Amino acid sequence: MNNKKYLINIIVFFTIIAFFSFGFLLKETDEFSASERRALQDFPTMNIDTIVSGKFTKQYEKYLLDQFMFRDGFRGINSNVRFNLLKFSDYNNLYMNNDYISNFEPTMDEKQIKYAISRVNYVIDKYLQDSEIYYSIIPDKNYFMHEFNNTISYDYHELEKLVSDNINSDNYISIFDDLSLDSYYKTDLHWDQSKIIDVANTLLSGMDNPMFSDINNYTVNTLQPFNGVYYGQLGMNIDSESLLYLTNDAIENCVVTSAEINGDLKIYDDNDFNNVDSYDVYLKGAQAVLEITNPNSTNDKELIIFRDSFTSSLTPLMIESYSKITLLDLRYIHSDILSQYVTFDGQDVLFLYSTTILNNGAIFK
Amino acid sequence: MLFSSISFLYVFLPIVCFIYFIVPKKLRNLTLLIASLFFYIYGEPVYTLLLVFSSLSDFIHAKFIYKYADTKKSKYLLISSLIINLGMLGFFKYIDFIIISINNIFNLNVEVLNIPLPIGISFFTFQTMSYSIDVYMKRVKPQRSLVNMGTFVCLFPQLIAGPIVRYTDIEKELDNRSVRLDMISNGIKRFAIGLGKKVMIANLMGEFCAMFRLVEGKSVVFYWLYAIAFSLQIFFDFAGYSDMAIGLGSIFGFKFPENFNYPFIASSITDFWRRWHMTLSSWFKDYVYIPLGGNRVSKVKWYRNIFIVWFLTGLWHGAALNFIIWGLFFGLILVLEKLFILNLLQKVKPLFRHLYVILIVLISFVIFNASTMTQLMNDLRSMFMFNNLPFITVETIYYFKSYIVILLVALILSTPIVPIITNKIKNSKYQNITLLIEPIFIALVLIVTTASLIDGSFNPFLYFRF
Repeated sequence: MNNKKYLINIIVFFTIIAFFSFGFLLKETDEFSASERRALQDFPTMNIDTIVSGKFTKQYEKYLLDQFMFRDGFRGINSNVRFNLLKFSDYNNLYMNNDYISNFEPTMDEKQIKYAISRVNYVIDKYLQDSEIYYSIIPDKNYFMHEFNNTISYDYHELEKLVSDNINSDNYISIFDDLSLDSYYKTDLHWDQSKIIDVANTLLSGMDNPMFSDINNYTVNTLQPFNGVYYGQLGMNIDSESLLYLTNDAIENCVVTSAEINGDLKIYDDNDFNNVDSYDVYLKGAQAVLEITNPNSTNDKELIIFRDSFTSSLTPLMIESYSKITLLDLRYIHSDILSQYVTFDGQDVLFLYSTTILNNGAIFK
Repeated sequence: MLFSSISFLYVFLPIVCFIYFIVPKKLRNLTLLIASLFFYIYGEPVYTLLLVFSSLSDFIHAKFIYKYADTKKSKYLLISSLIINLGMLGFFKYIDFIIISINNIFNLNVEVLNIPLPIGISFFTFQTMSYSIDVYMKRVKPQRSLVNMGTFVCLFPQLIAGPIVRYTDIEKELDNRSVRLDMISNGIKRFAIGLGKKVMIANLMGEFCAMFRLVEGKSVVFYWLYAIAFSLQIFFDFAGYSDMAIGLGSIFGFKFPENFNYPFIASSITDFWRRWHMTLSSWFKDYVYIPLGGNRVSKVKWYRNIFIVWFLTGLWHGAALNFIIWGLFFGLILVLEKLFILNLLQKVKPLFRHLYVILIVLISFVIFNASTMTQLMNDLRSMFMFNNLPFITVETIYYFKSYIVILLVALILSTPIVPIITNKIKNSKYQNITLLIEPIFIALVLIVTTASLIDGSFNPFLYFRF
């Protein structure tokens, strides 16, 4: 009886160990993790130097973790243990509420925000003396999850005030009231284009633009399954969503050019849905300089938007009011060389950044 | 290499077990020695020579101590062994602390050496010292085989974080031990318990402590939660490691001494130290306290002996002032207990005795974990409401709610409730249920801890720095 018990324990233990050990040996090395959006560690270089310095063992540990069998499944188990068994409120800097996942950023980093504003002011002083300058702030999902969840969060209105007190512009357009939690995707940080028409209208109105639109002006297109950036980071089995994009004749006739890609581009490209970041469908995702020309425009107004990734899905909803919109992303282009790509001659200018980017403003160039 | 790492669980351990169980009995110690040296080289390629030197030095010293027993030569050889061991420990562990202290006292600017601390040096030097002392005291005969001696010192299950295994503990097993199903099975169970304690409790408590230092919105309650979390972290970290070490020892046929016995249920600090890091306490008792005269001296000398032992205990834990204060703090409490507190405690209800112990232990671990004296003072002031902090904040409530389940689990598992229940089951008509529960428990621990490790969770071993 006892021997049987001992044998069962021994067999269970060594079977599990042996299964994963042999599995690891037989498994092919993966180069990239699509769910985590990062390159995986390959087998490290082994020589006297790397062994003596300890570099080999460090990288080998990482290699084992990255290449372990059923890695994504194990990550899912861990997230489930944290959230469903131990009832953690957040994990891996993410937290969940009613299937909405958000990054956990409870602290406002005044230093980083002030640095971001200093870069904005630098651009205003250097290039934009003849322009009407507007600015707006996109609240991240936390703002609404905080109200919803009564969890800890910094004061977003304090952030608004910090920006207002320091930026060289008096034209603030608030879009906080045009958004709610369901304006955002559940598994992604970004907003859903079909839910931000009011945001586009508020911004256009704030910049003295008379043209407004509603959902009936557009055809709604659907791409699925859409798994946002937080989906892979969390590793849990959550229902996929649909990525929506709005089209009409005016949008489809627009011509997009990029400083980084040759030739004319489209506002939306379904092929980019299969990229690591499916949000690249809108205006090719991360681009330093983009120009969107509207050949059907009834005016010659131009707009320059200094932006982050949220603006990719917003710009198509604003293009009908302009003959040209230029998008500049100061995370990917240094502010000293902007004039090589854009001629500044009195266009309207909108600085539109999300709170997440402002709170991590050190990435501004 | 950490026991709680993929490299150990799924590469090192299966290879070593496979080779160990198929080689002839006479080659088993050699197998363990080679595996242990590889285990150490993996984490400390350069300092492996130090480990080999330490083993060799005490092997030779002990041989001649025995040969020249009862002569002055024997005494000199023991002194030589102690100087070498303490010299190594002093140089690698304390030299920078000494330089910084001298600089501060004499306002000098001597450059520190920034020597990395060899992993486990505090453990293996204490083991080799006790071996030479025991040979000198004729408690044991010297080991004749260099392989066996090397196996004793380098044995990977206990090499880097204890328990402090003395030669007398495993002398017979080094020469002759057999593979037994019950020992392997119990070893596996014990290893799984330790792995679970370390990865699923200590690491999560560690995350709480790391988060505590970073977030805003501190409060008095938050500081007390931190004190509780760190006390639980260090207990489950070290007790978990000890369980894994004892379990691995058992798999390979060794019976290592116990290191923890539910210290948080102690009824006094005297009792607490009979339950916490028992192999260190008994080492200091046998090799320092008793040789100093123990309690068979005048009261003044008795108290002096207690303070010496606790000064050294504090210093053993780290080359920093907070560790010395921590040791002396316990020395003071133990003296006060002998003077009057123990008498007082006998007159109060058990609940108050436990509350007293928990209060002292929480304060002690806040001292223990302070990285600077400023932080130490700030932490203690905040706990006792001298820092004008709010009593409670939104952040405190948020993190309390977030960690409440694991805190409760940790508190329950720090008491003997679970073993009491399982023993009752084993002695009841439902004993067959353990046939099912044990393998399920082992499998679950392996899967859940592997998941946690793969997700790259927080995984330091606190006692590696000692």
